[in-house]
Amino acid sequence: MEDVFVRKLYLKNYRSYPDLYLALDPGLNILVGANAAGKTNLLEAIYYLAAARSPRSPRDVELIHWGQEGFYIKALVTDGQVEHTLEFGFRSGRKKSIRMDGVPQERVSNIVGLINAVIFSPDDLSLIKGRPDIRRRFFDGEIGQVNPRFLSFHQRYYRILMQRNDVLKRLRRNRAVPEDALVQLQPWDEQLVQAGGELIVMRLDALRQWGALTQATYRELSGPEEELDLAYESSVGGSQALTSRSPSTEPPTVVDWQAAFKDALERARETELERGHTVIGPHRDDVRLTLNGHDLKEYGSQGQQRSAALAIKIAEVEWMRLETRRSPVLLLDDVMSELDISRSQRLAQLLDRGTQTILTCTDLADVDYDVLEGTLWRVQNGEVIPVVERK
Amino acid sequence: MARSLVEAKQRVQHCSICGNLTDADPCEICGDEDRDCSTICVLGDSSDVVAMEKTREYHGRYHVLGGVLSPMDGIGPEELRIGELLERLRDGKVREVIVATDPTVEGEATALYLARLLNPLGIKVTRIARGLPEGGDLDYADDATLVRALEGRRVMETDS
Ligand SMILES: Nc1ncnc2c1ncn2[C@@H]1O[C@H](COP(=O)(O)OP(=O)(O)OP(=O)(O)O)[C@@H](O)[C@H]1O
Ligand SMILES: [Mg+2]
Ligand SMILES: [Zn+2]
Repeated sequence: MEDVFVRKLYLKNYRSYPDLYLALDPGLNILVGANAAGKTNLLEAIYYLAAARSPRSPRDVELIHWGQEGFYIKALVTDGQVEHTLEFGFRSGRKKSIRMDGVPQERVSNIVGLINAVIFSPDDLSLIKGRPDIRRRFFDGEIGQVNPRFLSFHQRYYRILMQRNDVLKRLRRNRAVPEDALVQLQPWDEQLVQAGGELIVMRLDALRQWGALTQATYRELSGPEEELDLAYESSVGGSQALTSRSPSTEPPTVVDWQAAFKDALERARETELERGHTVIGPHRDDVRLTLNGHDLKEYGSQGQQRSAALAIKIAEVEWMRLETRRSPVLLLDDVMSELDISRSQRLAQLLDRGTQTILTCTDLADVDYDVLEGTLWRVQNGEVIPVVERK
Repeated sequence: MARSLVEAKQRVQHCSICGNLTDADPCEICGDEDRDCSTICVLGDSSDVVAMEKTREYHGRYHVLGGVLSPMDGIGPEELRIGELLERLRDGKVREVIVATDPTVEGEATALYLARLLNPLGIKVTRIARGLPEGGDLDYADDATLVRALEGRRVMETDS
């Protein structure tokens, strides 16, 4: 397995960094800094290289250094013998611009997969506790990192959805008769159903693999008495088990899902005209987690929820390795201090493999620094400075 | 020089038949008796006509809609030159309408809308094949891709 890593990083007006240049260690990088020093911001910028978006905020404007008009990220990414430059530029009110090796790229899907990244953070708990849209955005974003086709369909689907919602809003305002509504909705319905079916099947394919790995990882963390199960809750076709050990019948195909979506839309028409937006579709679906059959969000203890969140992330690393035949860059945001010994040991196993890792902490005592070799950095006043070895 | 530019600008107008930009009305293409009047190629805007003409493979007529459906931007069927298209189809001479709007979500919606509108009139509606790069515009496609797209156009049938 070839290792991919970020060799150099340049940030201009990104979050708290007016101007930052860094030559990263291909192995472990430990960033130490006080609260609000800019550690998370730096991890976010590295994640941006992989996903072309922030893991926290869906809007690029928030990433611009306050008072500035835009941000710019440039990175040198080493992939085996080859080195690529990646550039992202964003100015408020404009489309983001992307260049790979100096060549402008029309679509985000052209560059995703060049480098992958998985971020671990205390926020991960919101994957369990949060609202469905948090899970949806997370899973979609990560599937998009490894599957450009998914990303294309995802963008297309949401574009169709926005247009269709606009039609519905207008129809509601004008109290349109159903026949008129049909004529105006049909061009969007047909496309929504087509893209939606593709999207659901690609999600299910990814989540079945990822789910099985999550289940196995959870068992490692918590012992054999507790069984974590994942299910895809579809607003179109009901609940689909993602982790059942007895694969029963053939899973529905894209065409099956499209047909089901079309029927469901017809049944929902009246409701949609009443409410003025699209009430069913993959944009309303969710992933549900259960522990021994009980809903984890409702009934799980703090510890169980934390383990499940960690299991999802560790499994994600494995899943990406299988999918891309490469190791994703690991971004560990202040997680060691939060975890108990057995959980942090399981996490540390991931670090053993020489994959590029960027780890943050406020206090070096939280990290088992002796066992981890790498470069130590101090984050302070918008600067990231290497700390000379203190042995 | 400056004066002739102003004059040229004044003369440029939309052809009253096809909607293409022209300095004479009707435009050169609509006025050309040798062009096949049983086929109309429907496009979003005038620049697409230029791209299509460059291929030298298409010998029918054009119809420029002046945009594509986009509810978010307030563009519905009434905002496009669809009424004018229906008018041109009334005499029954046109047998095929080729919809060559961009393969974007909006271009596709426009094609689907037209197919539903025109199929009941007994007109064959075809869609230019997606040989174009995803998200690509007619403007960007090279001549060879367009020729292939034209040859591979598919019939748009509507079920209900
Ligand atoms: N767009 C922005 N422009 C300028 N500064 C910003 C912007 N967004 C966030 N910041 C600043 O960045 C700081 C937070 O940085 P960051 O979250 O990276 O800190 P941290 O080192 O991870 O801290 P902690 O240890 O508390 O997690 C905040 O003080 C905030 O004011
Ligand atoms: Mg932080
Ligand atoms: Zn004309």
